[in-house]
Amino acid sequence: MLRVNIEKHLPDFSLRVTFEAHNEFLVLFGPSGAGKSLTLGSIAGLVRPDAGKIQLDDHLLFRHPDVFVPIHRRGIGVVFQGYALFPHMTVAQNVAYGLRYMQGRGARVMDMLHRLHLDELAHRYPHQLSGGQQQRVALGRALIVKPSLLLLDEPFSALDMAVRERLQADIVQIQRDLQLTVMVITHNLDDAFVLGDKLAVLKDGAILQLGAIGEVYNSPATAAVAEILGVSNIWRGKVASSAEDGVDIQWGNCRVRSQPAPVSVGEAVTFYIRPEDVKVIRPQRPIAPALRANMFDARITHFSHRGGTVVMTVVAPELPAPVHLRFPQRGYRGLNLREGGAVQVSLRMDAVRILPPG
Amino acid sequence: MPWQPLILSLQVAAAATVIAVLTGLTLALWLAKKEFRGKSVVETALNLPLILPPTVLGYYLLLVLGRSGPLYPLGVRIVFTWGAAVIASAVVALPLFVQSSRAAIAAVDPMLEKAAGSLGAPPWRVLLDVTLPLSWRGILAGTMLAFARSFGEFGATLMVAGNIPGKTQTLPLAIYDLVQANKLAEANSAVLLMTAVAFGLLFLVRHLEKRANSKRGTHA
Repeated sequence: MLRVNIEKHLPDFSLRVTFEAHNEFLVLFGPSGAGKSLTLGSIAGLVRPDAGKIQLDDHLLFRHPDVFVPIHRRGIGVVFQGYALFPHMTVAQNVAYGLRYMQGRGARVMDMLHRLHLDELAHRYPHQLSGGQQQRVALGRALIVKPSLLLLDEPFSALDMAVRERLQADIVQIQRDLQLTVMVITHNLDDAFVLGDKLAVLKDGAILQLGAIGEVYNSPATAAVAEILGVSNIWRGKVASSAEDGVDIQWGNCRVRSQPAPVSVGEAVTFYIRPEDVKVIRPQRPIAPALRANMFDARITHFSHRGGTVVMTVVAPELPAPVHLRFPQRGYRGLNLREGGAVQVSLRMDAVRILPPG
Repeated sequence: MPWQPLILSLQVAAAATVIAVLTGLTLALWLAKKEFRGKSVVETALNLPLILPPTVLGYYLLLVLGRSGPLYPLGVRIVFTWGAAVIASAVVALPLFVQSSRAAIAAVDPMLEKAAGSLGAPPWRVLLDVTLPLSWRGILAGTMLAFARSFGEFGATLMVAGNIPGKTQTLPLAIYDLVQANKLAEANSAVLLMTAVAFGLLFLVRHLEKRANSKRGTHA
């Protein structure tokens, strides 16, 4: 059980946060400068708050003004942004490092390497590894000391989609197996959805909303929360059928196929797709399998550039709500996309997700 | 070849290097890791020996070490001895060592040190496990620069240790005497040796620093 209630005052910024987490994933989500890193640093022991208290299980880590346990006696696993692997040590040496200060209470190096699929890489150096592999090493190194709290700082920011998804699944599994409390800092909402039990939305040094992740997403307490969460393309529908390979959702007069989810027929669900996962279908071109399910003939009602990105909104007779798209400026060159024009779009079925009931 | 001054020079340079490294490493860590008021004053003062005339430096050392200095009542009697030559060389070598090792220490990613701390390493172990292993090239380069500078030290040494053959006459001082006495053959061999040592050490330092730069971010 992690209990945090702290304040930290800097010349032009104040942090004031209170939260708890117990054997679960807590995601701290917010724009940069919201105070996420300061919060993580305070818990890890890198930053000394100006007031309040931090307690981990029966271990008082900080209490103003008399208690400040130094970082090396906190027993908290930290996976730093950019991993911070020791460049002069091999994978095995990196993972084993924390055992030097454990007096035999840690996990076994071979077990940890095996669990994270690092056996083959044991004797390599960090610079010889891919980003995903480095992330695994960082994870193994943090877990070997059997922490009861694991802190992850932007854990997937530098990884591509496939690697990211595998790692997310691994981390979820590890959290369950070890009954860990895990606190994740991220500015990527997808990470939050995959990992989070609880979501804390942070802005300007304060938690705007804290709750079960689906609940926060579905009913943002304030416009500020909705804006930070970037809610668009989030809709409600009814489960028409549910199978191992996907769920069909009745949405107004149309059917939308989504990722499989533990839902039953007839259940009302909230589902969403990120604007970048809605694709334009190019005529006279083969259509990727993931795009075949949710295709609609639509009309463009809004088309604009933002930086190097195009933001587009389309409507279709059978769609109960407008659908938002976002893609790189050069993405669909030669298609003559313009306001009022006709276009065929697809909601990538592997990107349509059903939110956990809130 | 003036053998006796050569041996004395090697001894003085070695002892001065040890002193410069021990004090310099503490200073380098302090300057690389801590922010404090007046830091730039300390840094400037530390670099003074690079710029000040050796005579000025020697004069200051005489003030500190001499008969009316604060150490004299404590029983320190090293002016015009081998020890004074060591002190003079160490003071002159110190800024070179601090510059090089401090840059190497500051180049170690602080995240790595924090990571080691989070894994249970107390600060002095973080230093031994992470900071020093990742900055040893720069520290070694600084050590060699300090040795090279000490080995060639002339002015401040002359001021505080004199030029006593067989006692405080190091090789650079011997060269001065040899040239004065027009013993050019002996002077030539000594000059050649000094040049070779200086060139060799500087070449190694350059090589080390190049390696340190290209290795940054990969393994040491």
